Amino acid sequence: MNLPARLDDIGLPTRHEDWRWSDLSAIETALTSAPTRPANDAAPDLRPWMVPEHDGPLLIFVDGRYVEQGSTPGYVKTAMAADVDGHGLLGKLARAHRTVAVTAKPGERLHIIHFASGGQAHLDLVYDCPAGETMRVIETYVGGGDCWTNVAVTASAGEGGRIRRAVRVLQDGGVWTESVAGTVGTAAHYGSVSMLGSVASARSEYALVLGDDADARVDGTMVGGGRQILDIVGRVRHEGVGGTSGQTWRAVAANKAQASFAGRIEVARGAQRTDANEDIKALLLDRTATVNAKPELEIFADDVKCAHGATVGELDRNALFYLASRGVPEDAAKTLLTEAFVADAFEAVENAELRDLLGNDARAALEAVR
Amino acid sequence: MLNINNLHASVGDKPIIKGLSLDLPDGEVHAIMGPNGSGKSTLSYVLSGRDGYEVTDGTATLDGQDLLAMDAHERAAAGLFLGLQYPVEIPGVSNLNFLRTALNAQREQRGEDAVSAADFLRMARTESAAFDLSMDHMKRGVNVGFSGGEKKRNEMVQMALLQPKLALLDETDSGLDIDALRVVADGINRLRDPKRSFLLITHYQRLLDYVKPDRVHVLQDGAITRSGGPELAHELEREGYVGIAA
Repeated sequence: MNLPARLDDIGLPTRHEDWRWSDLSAIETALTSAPTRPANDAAPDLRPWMVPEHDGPLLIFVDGRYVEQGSTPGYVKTAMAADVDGHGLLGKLARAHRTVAVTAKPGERLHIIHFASGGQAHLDLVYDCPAGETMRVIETYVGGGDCWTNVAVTASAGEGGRIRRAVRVLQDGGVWTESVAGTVGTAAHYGSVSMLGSVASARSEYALVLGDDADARVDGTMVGGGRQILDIVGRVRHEGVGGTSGQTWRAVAANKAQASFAGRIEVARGAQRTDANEDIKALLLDRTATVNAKPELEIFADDVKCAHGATVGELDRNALFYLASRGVPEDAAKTLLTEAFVADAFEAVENAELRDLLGNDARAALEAVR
Repeated sequence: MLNINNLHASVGDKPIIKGLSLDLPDGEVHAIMGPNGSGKSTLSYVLSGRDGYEVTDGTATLDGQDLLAMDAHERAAAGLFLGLQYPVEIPGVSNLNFLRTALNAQREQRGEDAVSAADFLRMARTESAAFDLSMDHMKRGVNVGFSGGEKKRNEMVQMALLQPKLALLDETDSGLDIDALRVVADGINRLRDPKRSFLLITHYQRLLDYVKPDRVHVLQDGAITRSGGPELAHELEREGYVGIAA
């Protein structure tokens, strides 16, 4: 597989239903552009995006290259990893063209920060959590320009293992895509929370397969303004008995932005006592913005609980009046209610500092689109 | 304190308030009683500046300031408090954050310094205890998962913290059991002050057994049809609005 030079080389199945709302034409721009930072440069100043009081391993990437200076890999292996099935085309591409593969093992919380300056960058992240262990990771994507950051995440949690992943997409423009293939073993847990902000175009696709009594959560917030296009394509498949899963997404779309969510819950034959839930809520700040929500259920077992709900609306007039009647001016009231709206998606984050960090990212993104 | 003169107001094209006049002096407690559909809630919304309620004639002033010329949040900063009949739930905004934001927004509009987090917390502790609302309720989303009575007591906590000049309490007594009614009434009585006035909008005289009003007004079809002392509430209870109108 050569590095693609044109969009056609990738062969994205744009006519496929899963690609209905994605617009990755900006990838084309990235393919013909190059990083603006010289390859031998040290990392740029990344302090604004660092995680406060982070004491675990830190991996710094610039335009897909691993930068040793400033990185503290600790237990993390930056070697090639074996191929794992389950990825879509973007994931396969990232796996084939990774510059460095990260294999994380449990330990302290890992922070991966990627800075893009232009051109295409492919990252291959492998989270391998053995039985009974807990792995925590934060990924932060920053930089901007005519760039395309493409990430493949292959996660597997062994029996009773727990993977907790936070994804901050704060790239200022450009394209960001990810493909997540996850295997959640018996009584294991996979939880991810995403904050998709200022990027021009984003697509997150995830496919999780759950075993007996496994639990998965995929939550996130999309904040879009201008002509941003943000797209989530999710699939959670229950193959074992007694599995639970939840997907909570909040989207705020202003101006001509488009935020889309297509989430599929699959319950395989025999996956009894599955309890799966999908909760999508979107807020339109302007009538010119677009939100698409498409929950899907495919159930082949009879003793299951599957629920999905999707609402698209505007800020609650009653709540706005309530705040006004207490003396809060309209703009401040709208800010407060919008921040509260997106914070719903961060509810399941156990770590209070991380919740605050994501809340601050969301606040900054909301300020930018208003 | 509050002067309403020949007020007319409509919702959509429908006139609801039809020539209402009322004079509420400093430090007094007045009650407005009226049957369903007489315009009680409309009056409270018109005075507090809710969208969709159009004043077509008349004036309303608070301490000489033209209330009707102000936005809702400016009326609050000028000293008006509306205790809602159905307090709104706001998930994701904690009660404490809501109140501190409100208090400091009002203070900012009045050119006063913001209250520090520590001072505010102290005030919030005192007032929530006074109205028998736990600090857990104060940390939760505004009114989220509160019982009807807890929502009303939360309105009272807000009133106590915001220290308005004029409190407009719209059916604050509805949905309260007898113990909660006493807590609310004690709170109102505690906040009575020569510089603060109350307008209690209510269906029943029950609340008026605990908060003794200086005057009682009967609101029927958008205008005050009778005014009198506290005994008028008892008369209403005995004879009903139909009897009074006759």
